[in-house]
Amino acid sequence: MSAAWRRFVAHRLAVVGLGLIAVLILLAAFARQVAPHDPIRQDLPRALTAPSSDFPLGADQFGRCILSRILYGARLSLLVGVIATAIGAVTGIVLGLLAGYFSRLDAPIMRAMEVLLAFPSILLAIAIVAALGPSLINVMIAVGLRSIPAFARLTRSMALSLKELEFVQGVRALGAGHARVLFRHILPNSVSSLLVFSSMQVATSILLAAILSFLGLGVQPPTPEWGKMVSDGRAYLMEAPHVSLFPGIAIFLTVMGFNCLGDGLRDALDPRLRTRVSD
Amino acid sequence: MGGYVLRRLLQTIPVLFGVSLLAFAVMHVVPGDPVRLIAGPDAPESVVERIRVELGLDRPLYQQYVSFLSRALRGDLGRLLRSRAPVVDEIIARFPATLELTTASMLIAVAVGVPLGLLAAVKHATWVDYLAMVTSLSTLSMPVFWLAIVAIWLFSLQLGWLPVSGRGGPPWRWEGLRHIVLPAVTLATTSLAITSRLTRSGMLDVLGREYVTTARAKGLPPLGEVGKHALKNALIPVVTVVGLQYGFLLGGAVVTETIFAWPGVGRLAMTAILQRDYPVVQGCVLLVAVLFVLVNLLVDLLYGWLDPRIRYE
Repeated sequence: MSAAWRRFVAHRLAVVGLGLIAVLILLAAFARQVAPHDPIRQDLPRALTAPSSDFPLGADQFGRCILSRILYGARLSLLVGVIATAIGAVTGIVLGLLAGYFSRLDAPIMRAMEVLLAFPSILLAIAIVAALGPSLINVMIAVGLRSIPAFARLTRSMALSLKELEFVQGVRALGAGHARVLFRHILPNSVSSLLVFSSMQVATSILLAAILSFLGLGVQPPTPEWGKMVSDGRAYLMEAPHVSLFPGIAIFLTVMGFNCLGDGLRDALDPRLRTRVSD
Repeated sequence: MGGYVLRRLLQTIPVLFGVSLLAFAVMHVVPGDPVRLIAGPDAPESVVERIRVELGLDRPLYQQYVSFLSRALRGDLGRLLRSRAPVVDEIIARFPATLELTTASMLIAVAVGVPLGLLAAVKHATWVDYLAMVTSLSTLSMPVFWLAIVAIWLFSLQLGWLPVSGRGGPPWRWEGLRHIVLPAVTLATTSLAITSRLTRSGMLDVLGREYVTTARAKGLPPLGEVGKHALKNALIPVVTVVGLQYGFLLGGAVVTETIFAWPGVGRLAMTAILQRDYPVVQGCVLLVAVLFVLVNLLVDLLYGWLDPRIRYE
């Protein structure tokens, strides 16, 4: 572990990423204490005011403090990113384990994954949310569904190679059941690769959820959500570009944080992934 | 080679079958009645029922699916629920705009991404490398819709150089070119970042191989003949990703087309989803899947040209 930690710390971008995420989590957790204003209280006379000492990042079209809305919005973005990734990871990992371990299940599961992959992720997510109705839970489901095939493929490839290894064959010979082999031996040996992949998926999930909100398919107003805030600001680009600008920067920094963290974790935990995932 | 192509084509049949099934299912299991949507909320029940029978939506689902599939195989994707125009005509009318935008953005991604990745690999572990990689990681982390808005704000509203939205005719005309610049560059950013990262890692991998070391030891300059061979090998993963991206984007870049009001397939699909226009959504999805599968096949065949060691058996 210490060697992995040293490799991680040596990766400067990864440390920056970890720092960004840590700060973001703290700000989200203490949004109530840190935010200068109530994120949904309207103050129409101050609508679209530029950044000032009272409103550090300016006010939106309803005179709401943009900084406060970004801080509260962080909770939502992190929550959606993590839960959507968890939905994709749990489903994809179980499917991948089954496909890699039981050769009879391999073809049907992987063909189904190919069908999901042939859909453009954004179109699929939009269709699901449009069908189920715009809400936080549906955004998480739609975004999570998109990452199932990628998790399944990665887990399958690891299960395929691990099940042939001597220690797994040994455990089988000692009479261990399939479930025990899968979840006590194969899965724990795949954890580091899956962890690396998950951290990158959180970044992608946050981006996709922001796109859905931007298109009006996410959380409904007045809940502060970054993608929706960028979208709302579009109408006031000429007179108040800050309304769109700052929430976009918040999305960028968060996604960048997770991408950097993923890069660093990969180098530290799973150098083999370098050849599988782009460098 | 012929046998390989045929086998790959046969393999695509179950995938396309699954895609058609999923496209059909997604739009049919959803709550909400499309017939009610067409007829209007106050239409009497008799009118609603008549429209339902006319559209064939009264039949059992499996019958609807079979008729959808058999018509699709003959190139008939049904009609728009409201205007009753053929879906195929609608897609064909919008496809050139999407083709134009996608091709332009891919050209930008490759023309900038490959040299950038190459430069980063040759200057490995110098500030040039770090700068190139931080730039590409930042680009990957940027929400495309936000980048589009910032670009519109800067180049259209502040500087007044480029139009805000729309398509201004063919891109070889001045107006057409001015209109395509912002959407194409915005759409290119993600692919550009991926291309440069892949080119860099591919080149670093190849440059470490023995045959390159030997050639360099013999005195061949790194960017001459060696570079040419190394690049050709390093480009294999790049070709895969660029090919797949191209295939995906041909189905319409939903977000970019929506923001820039680009009259392509992506915008058509987006509008259709929001209006629950089943035939259009199914048509767009099928088009995307078919293109994706074909591009996949083309990419596989390109491998043979890039790396003659790959044989199709």
